[in-house]
Amino acid sequence: MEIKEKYLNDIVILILSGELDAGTSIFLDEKIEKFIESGYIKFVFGFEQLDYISSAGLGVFISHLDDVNNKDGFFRFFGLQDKIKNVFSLLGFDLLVSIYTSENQALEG
Amino acid sequence: MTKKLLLRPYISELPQFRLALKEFLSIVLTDSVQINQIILAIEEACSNNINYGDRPENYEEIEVFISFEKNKLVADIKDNSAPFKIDASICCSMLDKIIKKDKGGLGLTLINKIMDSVETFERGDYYICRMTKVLK
Repeated sequence: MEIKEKYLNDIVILILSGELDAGTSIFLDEKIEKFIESGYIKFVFGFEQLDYISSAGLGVFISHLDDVNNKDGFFRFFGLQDKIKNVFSLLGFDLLVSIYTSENQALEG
Repeated sequence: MTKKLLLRPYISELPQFRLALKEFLSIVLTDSVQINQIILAIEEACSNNINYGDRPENYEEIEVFISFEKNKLVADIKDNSAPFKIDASICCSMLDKIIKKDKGGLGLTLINKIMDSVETFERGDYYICRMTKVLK
């Protein structure tokens, strides 16, 4: 898995590609953790090139979402492939986060 | 039509295993969402075995048998390690999990949402997790 990062004002944009599973999720977890420790609370995740997500990958978002929400921050997602959207939906995660079609829409909120 | 796949019990082996699973499932199934669901359910079950199984020192590879019977897919995961209780019921809503930062049980929830039946039983020295899904 590859994670590219960009910034727009106080928003961190993380573009994920490849597969987010039990082996790779630790890298994303550490990255988000460091951003939160540095004071970032607004995150936009690009999933257009993300081909797979397992429970371990979703667990990363679940473990940080409440902290971010409590600080008036957000997790927004864009560009989910149908199969990834389906995994979000199986767990009901799609009802608790904001999902957008494009990066611009996600940034606008 | 049955396929046997072997998985060395390490998380690092999962990407290659998923690739082999996808290759086989794509022969029979065409819906990419359904293929992904089945790969996910099988991988989650194997991950549970790898992470939580009481694996003996002289471990063996996890054997996964996938077969298509009429309109049904049957996946048997055969392991010499006692499996995590994969058919255990899971509590808590997703919202509760987020508030409690509780990542536990997500894999089992996915398996139970994707598959139509999940059972575990012993056969000789091995444990079998059998999952079935009716294909539409």
